[in-house]
Amino acid sequence: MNENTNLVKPDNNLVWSILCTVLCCLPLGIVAIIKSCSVDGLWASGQHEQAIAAAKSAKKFALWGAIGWVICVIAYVAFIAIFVGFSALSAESVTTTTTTSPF
Amino acid sequence: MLVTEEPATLTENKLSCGRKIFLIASPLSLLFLLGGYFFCGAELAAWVDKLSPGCFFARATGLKCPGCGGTRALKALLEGDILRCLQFNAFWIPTIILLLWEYLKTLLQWRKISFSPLLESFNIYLLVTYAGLTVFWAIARNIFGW
Repeated sequence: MNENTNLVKPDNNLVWSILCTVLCCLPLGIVAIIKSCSVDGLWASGQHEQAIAAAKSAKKFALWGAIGWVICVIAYVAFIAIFVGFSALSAESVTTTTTTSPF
Repeated sequence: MLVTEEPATLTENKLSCGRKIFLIASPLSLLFLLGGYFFCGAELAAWVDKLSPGCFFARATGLKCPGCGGTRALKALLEGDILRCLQFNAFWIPTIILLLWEYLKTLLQWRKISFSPLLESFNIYLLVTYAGLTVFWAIARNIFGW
């Protein structure tokens, strides 16, 4: 009797891997797609443990890709906010200097 | 081709949370796109263009990722120009085919209809081909400038 009869076929997480690749623009999505695409083949060939591991890896890579993208967006927004803030401050100080100049 | 039967223990598979989201969100996204195109295509395209931060990978490395051009492609799609959409990122063609296939698989899984061995083999070949195509596209578009 097969010892893996209680195992359930895992979701290959391909949709999330594709969304991560197409939307998040990170190479982690490519790795996630490759892992996802291998899940069904491994399962069909009876390598159930490897299929489950591949599905977990795919999910992990897609998740890290998405998290990486969110971090990049936050850093980008913070950079823009800081840049705009400094620009506004320097413009204000130039105006103040000009208006208080004795010359 | 399709075999309706009580699923065997090994292939018994309830819809995961992600698959349920996919099942519901896909038609909603399509409706959103169609609605956007028919009611406020130009405004929505301008909004997408304005809000998109661009590709961080391309900015950091100077290389194109497989998704590069996706925002411009979506903008072109909202403006109703499908050819221009595909010119920006041709990877959308196999991706949409595969997403449709995955959607069909999810629907069948939801209805507890399992694949015949022939369709199962086709599924595996399709997935392997798509994985290969992803790697090819990621490399080739940086070499040939696609």
